Amino acid sequence: MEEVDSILIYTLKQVGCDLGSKLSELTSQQLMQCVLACLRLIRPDDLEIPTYDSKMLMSLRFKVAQQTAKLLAELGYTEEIECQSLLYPTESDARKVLIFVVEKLPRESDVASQIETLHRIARETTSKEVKVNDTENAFGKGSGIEVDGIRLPNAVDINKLPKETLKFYASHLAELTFAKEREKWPANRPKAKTSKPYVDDDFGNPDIPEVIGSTNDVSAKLKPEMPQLVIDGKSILKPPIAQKPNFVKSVDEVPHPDKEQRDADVIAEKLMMLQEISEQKAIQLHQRMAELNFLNLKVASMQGDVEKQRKHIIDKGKRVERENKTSQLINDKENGIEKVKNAIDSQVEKLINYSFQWEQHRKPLIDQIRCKREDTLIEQSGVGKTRDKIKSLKSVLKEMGQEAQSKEDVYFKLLIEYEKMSKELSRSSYTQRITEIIGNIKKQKKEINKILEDTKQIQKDINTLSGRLDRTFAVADELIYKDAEKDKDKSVVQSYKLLVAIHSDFSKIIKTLEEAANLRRQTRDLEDKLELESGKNVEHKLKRLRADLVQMQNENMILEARLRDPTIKRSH
Amino acid sequence: MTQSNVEKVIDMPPAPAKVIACHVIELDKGDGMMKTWSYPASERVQMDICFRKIAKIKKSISAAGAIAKYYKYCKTWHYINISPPLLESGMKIAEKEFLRIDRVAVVIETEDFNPVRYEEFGNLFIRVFVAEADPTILLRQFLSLVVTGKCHWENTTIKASKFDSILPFQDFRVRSLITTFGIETIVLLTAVLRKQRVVVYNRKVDGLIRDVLSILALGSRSDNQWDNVYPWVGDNDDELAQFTDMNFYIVGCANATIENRPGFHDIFVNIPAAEISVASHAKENMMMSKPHKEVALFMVQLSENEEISEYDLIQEIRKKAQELSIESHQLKKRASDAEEA
Repeated sequence: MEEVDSILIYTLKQVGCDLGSKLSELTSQQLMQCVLACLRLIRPDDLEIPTYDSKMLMSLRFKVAQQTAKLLAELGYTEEIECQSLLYPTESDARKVLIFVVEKLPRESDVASQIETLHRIARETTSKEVKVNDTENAFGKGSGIEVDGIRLPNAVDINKLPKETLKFYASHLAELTFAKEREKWPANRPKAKTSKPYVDDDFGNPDIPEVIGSTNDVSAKLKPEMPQLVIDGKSILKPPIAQKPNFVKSVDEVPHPDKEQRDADVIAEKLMMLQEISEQKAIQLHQRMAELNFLNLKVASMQGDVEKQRKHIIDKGKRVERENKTSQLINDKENGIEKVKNAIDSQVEKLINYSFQWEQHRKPLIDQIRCKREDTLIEQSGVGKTRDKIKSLKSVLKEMGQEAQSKEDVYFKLLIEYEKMSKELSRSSYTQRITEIIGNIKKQKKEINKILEDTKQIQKDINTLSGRLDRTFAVADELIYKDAEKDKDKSVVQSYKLLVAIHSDFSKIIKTLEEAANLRRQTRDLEDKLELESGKNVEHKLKRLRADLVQMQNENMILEARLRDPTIKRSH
Repeated sequence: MTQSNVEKVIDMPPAPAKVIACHVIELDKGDGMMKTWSYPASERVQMDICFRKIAKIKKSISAAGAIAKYYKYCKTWHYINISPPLLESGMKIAEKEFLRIDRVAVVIETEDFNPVRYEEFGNLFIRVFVAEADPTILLRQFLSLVVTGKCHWENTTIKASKFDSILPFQDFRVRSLITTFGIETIVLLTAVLRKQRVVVYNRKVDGLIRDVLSILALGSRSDNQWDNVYPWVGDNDDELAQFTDMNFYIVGCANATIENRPGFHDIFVNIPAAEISVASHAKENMMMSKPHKEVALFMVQLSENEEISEYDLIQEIRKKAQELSIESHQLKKRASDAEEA
């Protein structure tokens, strides 16, 4: 356990807490401050971390402890924790809490921020303690450690050093600082207040405190801690060198209340002065920085110039060399001209050689380009053809589109017309009737054709029959005539005569038959005409005309009578 | 007035050859053209411009013969020589080398202005290139021109110094300018004298170059004014970029679209339309007085006299214009004196 304790204490001291060498001696005040300091480091951005002071009201203290406990729980503290475990800690409780908090401390990677925070904390605690000036609260060596805290970079270096060495360094540091600043001693505790503005600055501009730290002001500021370190840390941090009389005196003076008042005034004045000085320094620093930047820029540009000049010089050097050579050549007269000529000739030969080499590459390349070009031309022509095709297709498409549009227009027109038309008559009935009629017509046509064929057939029959008749008659005529000539028989002659008579009679009959048929046809035509005429209602019309005529005649008669007898008119 | 005197005053004095670079561009039988060889180097923009010029030349001329044109870009004169690859019998190189090639163009970049000289060299280079089909031999010729100032190939020898005593440009046509613009020609003269930004438009390149150089000859009083003449410039952003920081130039352009760049010129001369327009922002600088009118009338009268040669005409006009400038100087002096008083 002791090892754990020592590690804990060491770490906490580094953080800037003041505590004794043993955890068992830890008071609630110390515990609280350790925990809070660590919390501040763990959550540097958290403004809600409270401050703790033993002079605070009890209720406030409880409140702070409650808050702290809550924060710890938030951070992930697994054990049960309440305000009482912080305010009235048992040793094991305190150890647990401290181990937890120390484990949660940010790692080395955050050193920069850590350092700053440490600075701040160190000053805060210092100032607080100086204000309080209470040995009861601040355990002796605590202030000494805080001095260390200000010099944190060293502390970081000695991370791995044993505690004793650290103490040794701390005491020596104090001594050294003291030795250096001895002359500027007068300012005592209150001077620590000067650190407050720095603390503020610390947040705004981290550069300032560092710079100031290197100046006398800070050394002066540091000084007030020294006596405390010596006074309070008698038990542990005893400077190995004997205390200087001045120092001792001043230490003796510290407790006197009269002097305190006076010192306070002096210190207040000094504080103001220091503040002013620090402000001036800050301004000066800014100015210096600006100047530095400006100078840096200037340096950069100068370097550029230098580069340029160097190049210039190199160029000039080359030119000089060249001119030197030319002058040498000129001085050499004939030889020189020879040389130049030779040089030129060799250059020409070289060029021609190169050209020859280039030619071997060039020709195939040019041919390649030609081939490629032709290919592209062919391709292009193909592309052109397809393009033409596309164009023609497009035009066709356009035409078709127009046609379609016109047809659509017609369709719409017809549609409108159709809608206008009465819809009672069903279209199908019409078409049915039309098809019926067409069927009838077709039938009739067929019949007509049949009849025509029949008549043709009959005509043919008639023709053949009349032919046969003629021929038979001729044969018969000849036979009978011969017989009649031979026999000179009366009967034969008679029969011949009869035959002739029959023939002529029959031909007459046929003629009359034909005439009759003709007449019948004519009558039929006339009948048709008559029917047509009668269909015109001529008779009726004539009747009406006649009636009209009669009426008109009557009227004419009346008018004539009136003309003749005006009395009738008058009476009328 | 001796001829030599005129030369000195009118024209850019013949300068020794200062060759910078040489490029070979092959024009395919189709539309393509390709830079196939350069010494010592070529820039992208420069080549783009060159291609455009060649395309323009190709468009305007269908004849089979050799063509020489020149232009200036960024203080460097570019001489373009274009010729079909004339393959003579007995040439070592198989014809297939030039099977696909319609024309060969050689572009010579120089610091000095001398179209005649570089036309000759350009033609020689084309012949060398076509005959040998080997750029290495062309390089040898080019280096010989750079180093010794002469070229020797087969039976031909050309010395650059041959042209040192001949006027680089003699084909002025001031008389035609005056007949075109009448007394308005004084505007051109004044614009050059007062260092305004003049842009000339003419459809044909040859005529354009003649007009631009004639306008310069009218008004220029010192040799260094030749630095500001660009007889043939295309209406392209990359080519016009060279003028952004210049406040005096005489630029010739064969694209009528150049008129649409109002910030580019103070005076715009449209030769086919016989129009001179002064930009509104330049009107103050172009104020003219009675002596100007006198000079204008004098110019017109002088140009009507057919017996006076083009050179004498220019010279007389210059003399008269000098009086003008002297007068204006005096006026200025008087004005400043008056101010001081």
